[in-house]
Amino acid sequence: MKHNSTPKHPSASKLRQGLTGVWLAGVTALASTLAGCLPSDSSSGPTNTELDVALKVALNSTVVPAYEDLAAQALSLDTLSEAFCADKTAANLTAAQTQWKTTQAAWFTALPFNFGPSEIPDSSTTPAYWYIDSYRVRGINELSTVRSDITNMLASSDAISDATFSTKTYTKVGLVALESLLFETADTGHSTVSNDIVTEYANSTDNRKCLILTGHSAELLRRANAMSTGWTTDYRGTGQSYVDLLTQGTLDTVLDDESGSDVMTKITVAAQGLYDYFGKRDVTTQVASVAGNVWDAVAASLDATEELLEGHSQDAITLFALMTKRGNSQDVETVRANIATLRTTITNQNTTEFQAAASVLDGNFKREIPDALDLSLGLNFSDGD
Amino acid sequence: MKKNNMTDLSCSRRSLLKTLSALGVVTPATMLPATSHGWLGDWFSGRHATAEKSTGFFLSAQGDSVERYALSWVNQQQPHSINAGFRGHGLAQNPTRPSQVVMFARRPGVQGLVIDAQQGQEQTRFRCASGKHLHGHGVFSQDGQWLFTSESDIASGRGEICVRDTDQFKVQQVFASHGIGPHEISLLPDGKTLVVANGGLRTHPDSGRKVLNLDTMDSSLTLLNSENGALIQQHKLANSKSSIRHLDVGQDGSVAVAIQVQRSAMTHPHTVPLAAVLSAGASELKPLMAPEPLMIQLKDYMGSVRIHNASQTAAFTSPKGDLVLFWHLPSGDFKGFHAFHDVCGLTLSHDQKYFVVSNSAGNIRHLSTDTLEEQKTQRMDFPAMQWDNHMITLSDRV
Repeated sequence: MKHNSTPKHPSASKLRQGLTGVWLAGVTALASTLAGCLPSDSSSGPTNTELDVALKVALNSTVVPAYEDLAAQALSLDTLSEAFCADKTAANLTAAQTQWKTTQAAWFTALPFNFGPSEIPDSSTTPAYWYIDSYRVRGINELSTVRSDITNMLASSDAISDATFSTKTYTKVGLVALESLLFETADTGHSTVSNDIVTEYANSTDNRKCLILTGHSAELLRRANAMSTGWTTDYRGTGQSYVDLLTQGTLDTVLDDESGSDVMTKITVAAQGLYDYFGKRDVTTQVASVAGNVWDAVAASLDATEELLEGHSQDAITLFALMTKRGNSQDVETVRANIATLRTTITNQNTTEFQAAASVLDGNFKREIPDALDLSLGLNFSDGD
Repeated sequence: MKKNNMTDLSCSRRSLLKTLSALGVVTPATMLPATSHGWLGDWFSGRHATAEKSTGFFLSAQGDSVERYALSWVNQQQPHSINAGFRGHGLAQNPTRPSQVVMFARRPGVQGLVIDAQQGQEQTRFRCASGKHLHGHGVFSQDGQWLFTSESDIASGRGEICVRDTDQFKVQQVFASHGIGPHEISLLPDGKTLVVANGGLRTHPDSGRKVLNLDTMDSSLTLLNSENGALIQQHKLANSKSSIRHLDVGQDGSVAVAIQVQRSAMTHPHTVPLAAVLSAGASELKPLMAPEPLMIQLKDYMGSVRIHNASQTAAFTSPKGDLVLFWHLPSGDFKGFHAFHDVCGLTLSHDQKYFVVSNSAGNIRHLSTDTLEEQKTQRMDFPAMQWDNHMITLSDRV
């Protein structure tokens, strides 16, 4: 079975793709220099160069920081989990719980960009992100699975090591496992009272519950670090960052099992996937049901999506600006209005309206945005038989 | 019954040809002009490099707008096209008149475009009868005299197989497909049994491609007597919301089917099989399974399927999953996958050494039928082309 390919060096016959990558890099640099001087002529559409620049800016200023922050927050969570285990107090538990919520929000900030390093499959072809967010997979709440696993581990006398957690199936690890460990007791009552949780940790034989907690936090950190590393320095052992490989268009040359999709396709499909997920699954009633912070989490996703499209004040080229330049300012306003609508549903914590608004935004990523940028996501992908 | 008329016509044609042959005028094999037109002409006349002949010519519907919709073909050289004016879907080559190739309009189109592949020119077009539409697929009879197309009666929603002669392409016979929404059709090796993928979905041109019968959809694989349309066998999948859409037939008579799922009509989120095989002589379809992460990535959609007879391996494409998956049919063992953006078109190279896949970014890739890995030196990229759902390999065999 083909997976976990070893990286291949481009052959001489891939000169065209290599030249394309060099060309893109050179043009990108030049375009960045000239970007501030470009006239805002709405009668001229965006060039591929401008789109390439905008996408590279989006990747470097929005996407990569999201994964870097995820890794940073996972590190803090691991640190605070260790700190709690070293001194089991309600205050330290609260600190760890708060950090779990921050880490959850960091994951949801990265979720609109769920491609590349977060999709790297392991030997069982399971994508990396499954091990962080099991609900994202098929909308199945694995809280009961996690609870059972924690109970079994507590009752067992098997040694606990790093491998204990790295070999678990995706249904038993990730944010939901840490949520259960930090926000409720493991006994059948599943008390969420802070003192009950602290007491259970304190009374755990051989400090076993702490070993489970810190094992899970270390595992989450390992996976978040892997994703961040993939985006920034080394994607699947190639020695190159995913950003570079993606923007140079050399992924399917260097690696055997990459599809070769371009940047905008990856970004658009990932966003479609997220808002389709928000529209169809019971995210706001099932995710973080113990911690109770799901609305903050989905707000983080929306913030990241908005940032992707709006860019930053210092960005000379943004995706919305390109859509406008192509004469599609109405589409820009439509998407902005839909983002605002979705944000209102989050503020009001209205699940039904949230799902409806998310579906509308999903549609924008299927039609208005790619159409306004004159992009094809794939004839067969978009419109089969 | 219409069949007698067909027989009479056949005798007349056969008599005529026999006479002409005796006079040394023409035979079917040499009816085509010796002059070439483009690469296809060279193919038929043998005036091309051996390497090009071994991989073959690949034909596909192509284009993304009315102005650009075409029947296009390519080998290692520049692609060529014949404008169609409608979006095509499946194609078929006449086995006894190999220069005759048909492209069928995508559902719910009504046209078929017939080309002379040797000349590289449009030969004729045919249309459905009023009140009917095509489903994008058809197959020639083994003797090349008849063209079977999958169609629907719009008013009743009845699935039909229309039988046309291959000279004027006039409908000579119509029989039921014994299902709704017949899609891809083919013939078993006996040359007499039609196998039909009834998708089970009812649509109406007035509402485009909207599915009108989600609650009652009923997909099936039917085997029909190609002479009279009699139902021989009917097979269904365990999941009622799975739609059998595409198929291929192996030399041993096994039928591999590609499936698409109406997820919105399902009541659970779990994956269901998207590929299955009806082995020769088997009483039921056997699902083909892959690891769960891959199944999820397919997004409930398989496009094309093609069987490599020597290895008994079937390849399936999923443009929504950007994946090609492979199974060994007799054992049902999953053999691997290949990632390729928007992949859908799937055929075999002329020399059977490669599965050849295409996408709407104009890319064509060769995957070894032996190792299932890509032969990167054979990459073809035509950015101006948007290869559509299906692809065939032109055969020069008579």
